[in-house]
Amino acid sequence: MTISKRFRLAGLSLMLTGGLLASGLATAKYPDKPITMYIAFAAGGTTDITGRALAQGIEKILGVPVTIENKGGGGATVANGLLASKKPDGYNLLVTSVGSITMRPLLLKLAYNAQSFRPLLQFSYYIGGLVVNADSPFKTVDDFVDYAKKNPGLTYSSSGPHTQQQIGVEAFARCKGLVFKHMPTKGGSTANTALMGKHVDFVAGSGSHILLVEQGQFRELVTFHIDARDPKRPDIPVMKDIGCPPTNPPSGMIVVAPAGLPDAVAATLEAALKQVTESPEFKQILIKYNLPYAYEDGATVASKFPAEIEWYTKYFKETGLLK
Amino acid sequence: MDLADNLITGFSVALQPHNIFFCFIGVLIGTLIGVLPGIGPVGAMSILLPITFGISPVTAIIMLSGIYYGAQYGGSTTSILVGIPGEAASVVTMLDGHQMALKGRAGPALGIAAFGSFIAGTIGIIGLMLLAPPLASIALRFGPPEYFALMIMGLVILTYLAQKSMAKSLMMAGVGVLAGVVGLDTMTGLPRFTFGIPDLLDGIGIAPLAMGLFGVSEILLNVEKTIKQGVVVSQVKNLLPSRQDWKESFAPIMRGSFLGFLLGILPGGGAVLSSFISYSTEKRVSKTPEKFGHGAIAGVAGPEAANNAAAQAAFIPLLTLGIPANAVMGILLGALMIHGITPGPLMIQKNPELFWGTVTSMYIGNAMLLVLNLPLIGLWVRLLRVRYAVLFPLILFIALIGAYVINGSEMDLYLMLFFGVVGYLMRKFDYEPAPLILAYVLSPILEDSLRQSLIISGGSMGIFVSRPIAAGFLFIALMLLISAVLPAIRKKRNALVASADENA
Amino acid sequence: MNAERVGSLVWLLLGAAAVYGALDLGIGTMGAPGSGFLTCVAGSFVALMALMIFIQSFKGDPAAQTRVADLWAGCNWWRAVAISILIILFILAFETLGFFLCSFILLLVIMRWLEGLSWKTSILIPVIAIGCTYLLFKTILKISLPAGIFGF
Repeated sequence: MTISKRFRLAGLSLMLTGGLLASGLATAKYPDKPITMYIAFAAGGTTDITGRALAQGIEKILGVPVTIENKGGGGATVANGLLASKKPDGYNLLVTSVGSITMRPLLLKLAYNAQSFRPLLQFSYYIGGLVVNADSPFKTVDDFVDYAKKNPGLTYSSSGPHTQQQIGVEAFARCKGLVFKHMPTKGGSTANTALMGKHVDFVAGSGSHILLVEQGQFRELVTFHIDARDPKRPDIPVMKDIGCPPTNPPSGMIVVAPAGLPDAVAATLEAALKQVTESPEFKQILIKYNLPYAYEDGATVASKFPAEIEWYTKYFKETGLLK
Repeated sequence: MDLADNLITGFSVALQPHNIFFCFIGVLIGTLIGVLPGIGPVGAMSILLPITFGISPVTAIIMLSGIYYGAQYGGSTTSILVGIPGEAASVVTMLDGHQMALKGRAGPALGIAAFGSFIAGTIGIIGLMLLAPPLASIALRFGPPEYFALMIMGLVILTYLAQKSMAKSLMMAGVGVLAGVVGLDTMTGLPRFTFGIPDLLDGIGIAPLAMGLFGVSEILLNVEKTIKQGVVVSQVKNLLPSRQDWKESFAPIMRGSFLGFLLGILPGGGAVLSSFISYSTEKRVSKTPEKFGHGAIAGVAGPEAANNAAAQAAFIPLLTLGIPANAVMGILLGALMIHGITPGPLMIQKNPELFWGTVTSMYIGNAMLLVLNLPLIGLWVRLLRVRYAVLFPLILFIALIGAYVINGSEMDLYLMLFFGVVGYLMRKFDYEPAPLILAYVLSPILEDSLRQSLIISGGSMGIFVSRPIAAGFLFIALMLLISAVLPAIRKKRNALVASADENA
Repeated sequence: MNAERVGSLVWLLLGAAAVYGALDLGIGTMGAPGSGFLTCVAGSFVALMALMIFIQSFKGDPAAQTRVADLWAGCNWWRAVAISILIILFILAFETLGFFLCSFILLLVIMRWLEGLSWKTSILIPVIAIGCTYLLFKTILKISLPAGIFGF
């Protein structure tokens, strides 16, 4: 080749590499288009409201529009499945529950499993409890246990089979050697209504009961999923206080992205989300809904998955749901 | 507290300029949303929810409520005009309402729907004011056995909807029950008949089902024929209901309002149930039952009144007990909580201005709806004169958007098309879709309440007769069944007797 | 082929399939119904009714009954098929090409090709309708529909 041709070739390849580098740098700038945040539950619920607050918050920080899409259904499984199918490019996020990721795939054939996601953070968790009517004769959990031992087969309503709270009640039952009859309903408020109308003896409270306890219609006898008494309600014991092993681990409210999300993008998102959850406005929302503020970063959330899956596998094998 | 005092408190809140403004916005958006089939008020309310963060709780509730009953009425408009019911509560309105529209009587249909809804709303509000707490406690006494009995009665009443063959309608109801089974089993949490499709985990969905079976199928049927003119064949006469129309509609509106109000208090399915019980009742008491299904105005007036009264009644469990009766109330509950208000028995005492302000704003909202929609009737009617060739693609477009936006799911569009084809074939072979849809709505409640009742009773069926309310409904159902079958038996007997006489 | 017979046969099959599926799910007992209980009852009912209608179709005047072919007599049934196919194509395309663009194409094709309307009508009306809806959704409702590769 002649010298001038070589120079031209060199120049061309330099330009190409330069161009490639430049475009590489350009795409490294995230985010540069709108983000969609899915919410795994119906509009108006606690997850929905908190999710929307998160979205509004990170919109301001990241500078791109963040649109919300509700995709409730199947106990969060529909939304989980949808997100698992999306590209891990940081433009699709999901607010969902830990339980639906760790526990549900054990029971149902789903389009995802715990490895399909990269958790970004946890901001709260769902707490369940054993709740009776305020005018029932059970004033403490001990009264209740005594009565239940003599009268097996008390009925209770729940927001669905294998929900955190229902498993909590069953774990409680096994610890105290009791037998209950479980009556599933379609959601938290229908379960509460059944108790209010005295069609069942108690309810596996799923969070919405706290409102009714404060109003004086219900009484919570024991709280599941937490290790220490709620400072706002010190007279309600936890499982440890009544001599029982902890129930299933609390199901956290988390934000996830599809697995395979690049670390750089994840870091940006995690920082932005963390900033929002630490803001006083967000904390106010949690307080209004009686949700605990429980921040955990993405890596911590992911690291807890295996232990949870193991807990549930053991539990389902013991209760005969899994062979 | 004196009722007059409460009303004064209420109106003083509701008539504040910014509350009127937000009420109007809510009603307007609600109507727009409601007119688009498929997208329910839930979608609109959840999108607008963040806007309410900055305003006072009363104003927020007023606006969100406005969206709710605005959407109710908007849905009726589409049902009547183009025969696409966007949700279950509009299905019954469509049966006769759309027929009226096809006969050039869209004006009176829309008009009586508007007035009927307004009257029912007013009656409902009065009921809300006077009877809220006692009714709420009655609603609580409805447990699984009572719901089961109510559903059985509902299914029996469904048969009265039959226009042609009773056997075919009953069979369609059975198919509807089957369609309702698809999805997650509430009691076991396991999927049934979902064929591995995640979108079906929540069931088929009333919107794709209704929009397909009625809307798309009608398009497919019409497209086959070679009429190249407007939907409405005959000349459009009046825009408003005539005196005769009012005569035929007044009693149905009254009956429908009471029926709707009572059933609307029950969390879950109250509005739909009341709309078709009203329809069946009107058909039964009418002197011209054969007109039903072909444009009887009583068949529009009654159900419209019923489902609007039910919409008002649905507020009762929320405001008095803090129980949301349906998804819409769920959003209102969330809105109240975010404003720091805990709905429940104490709410009326602690926040009287919220309760009474909301109640009185309903009057204003209902009046606004009337004022907003009546002039539009002329516009809507003119729309129907457009050539079908231009109209139906637009209707199809609206149906596609409506069905997609509910869940953002492609599957819903496929489902709508699938049921469109099914509905097309069904109507060709002379099977009615209405009983199918209505049974579909009842199916989950029927099944869940049966199994829940048996859990409570420990396996004994006696629970249905030992509890008075449940036993009452079952008795009524039995009577209705007998009275439906009796004429047929009598006819056969008479025929036998006659032939015996002949042969004697 | 008799229309009543064919129709009722289809439902009979559906009912039977439902019963089969119900047995798979488990019927349970009267006192403790299983997952398939209601399905079995409803499926049997549908099958029973279908059977009744099927048998009924053998009675009565054969000449007065409709045949399947009659149901489509004088109908341009291929137009219904065409619309269905177009809708399927729409559903397949809109996530990639954008909801509103595909709607426009769908409406254009139906109006121009199927219904034989003028180019002016076939383009103008969809543009106006879709344009208004687009604005409504984008600005007032803030609901986003798939934008596709063209960005809208």
